[in-house]
Amino acid sequence: MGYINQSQLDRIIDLPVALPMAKIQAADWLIVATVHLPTSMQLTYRWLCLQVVEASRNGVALNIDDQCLPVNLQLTNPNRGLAYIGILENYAINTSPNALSFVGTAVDLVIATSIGVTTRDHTLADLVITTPGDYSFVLVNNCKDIDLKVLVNGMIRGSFL
Amino acid sequence: MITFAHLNELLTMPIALAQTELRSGDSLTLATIPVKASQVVTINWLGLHVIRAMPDERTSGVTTATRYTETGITYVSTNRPFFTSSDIGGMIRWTDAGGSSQSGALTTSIILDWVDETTVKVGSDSTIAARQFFTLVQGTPLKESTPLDAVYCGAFTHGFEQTQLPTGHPTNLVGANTPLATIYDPHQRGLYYGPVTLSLAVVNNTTNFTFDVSVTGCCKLHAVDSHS
Repeated sequence: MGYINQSQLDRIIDLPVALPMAKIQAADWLIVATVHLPTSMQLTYRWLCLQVVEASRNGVALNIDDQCLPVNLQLTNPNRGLAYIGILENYAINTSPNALSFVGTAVDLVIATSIGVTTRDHTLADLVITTPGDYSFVLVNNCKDIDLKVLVNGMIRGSFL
Repeated sequence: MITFAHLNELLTMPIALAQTELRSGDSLTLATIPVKASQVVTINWLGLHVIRAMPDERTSGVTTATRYTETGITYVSTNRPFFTSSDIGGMIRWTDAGGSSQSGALTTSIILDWVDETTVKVGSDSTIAARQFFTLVQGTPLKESTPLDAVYCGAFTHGFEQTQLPTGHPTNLVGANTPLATIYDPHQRGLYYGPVTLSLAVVNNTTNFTFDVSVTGCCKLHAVDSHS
């Protein structure tokens, strides 16, 4: 078992990825957090939680059991559930995330397929990012005509090399 | 080595603001931390992402603009200057006599040659509808405090006066004038020894732009003796 000292501990920074419950309109997206990664640092992404609290059309909440199932909804991207969040590199807000490639693999994209809580499986291998750049956590409402109430909490670890 | 007791004294606190619209002259307090005499706060990371810059629109309707024509040139008269030199680079929109929307850039030459305190030329377009409004989409952010960036984020000691902006120069300052992501140098951590009340805030330092911003950071609170 290894030990760390104060200096090593100081080189580890846990950064929040947090959005209190917020309404995100149909087909809209927003940036939850951005980390500007300089040289000589790396990011380690392990855990993130996405909760879809409510889905509504024209202000009327949808029935959880059937109306909120992806099969019954018009989705922008059929494979990405009601909402999803992932990491984009050097992202410009005016570009639709649907057409972009997210950093990492499929497991690094947290996809909510129903009302409820979805997490990135922390038992999977960490996503380690070492290439300098601006990394943004982008949350997307994948429904074409449904507004969503969502919240996000998670973290990403920055470490000096 | 790090003992469990030491680790137990160390509290990491998040600084998080997801994408938020910050209107001209507005500010948001992100965190307030009362630091006691035996404590110290370290700001380990502070990153500001200016996601989008949106110029505020100003309509000439509020200045009761009217138009008149002289020697083939159309002018707009106002009760007070509608366009000023600081509006250079902005766009103006108006409706022509046929009801179609028109637009044009407000250039330096227009300002210098054609604008005085009471008149402004909007081109030789003689088809401009009478009694119609001109809308200015401003091009350059006008800063309230010129030494600081258009949007900035930092630490204010002794609290942050939300109602009287700007309130001085924050420390651990990170700012931007255009959309970009930037961080405070992570190798130069801010140390704040108690007693002090530390507030972290993000400020829109302009009078004519709205910005979408997000802030990501963290700070650590611990006893003075434990940080050797």
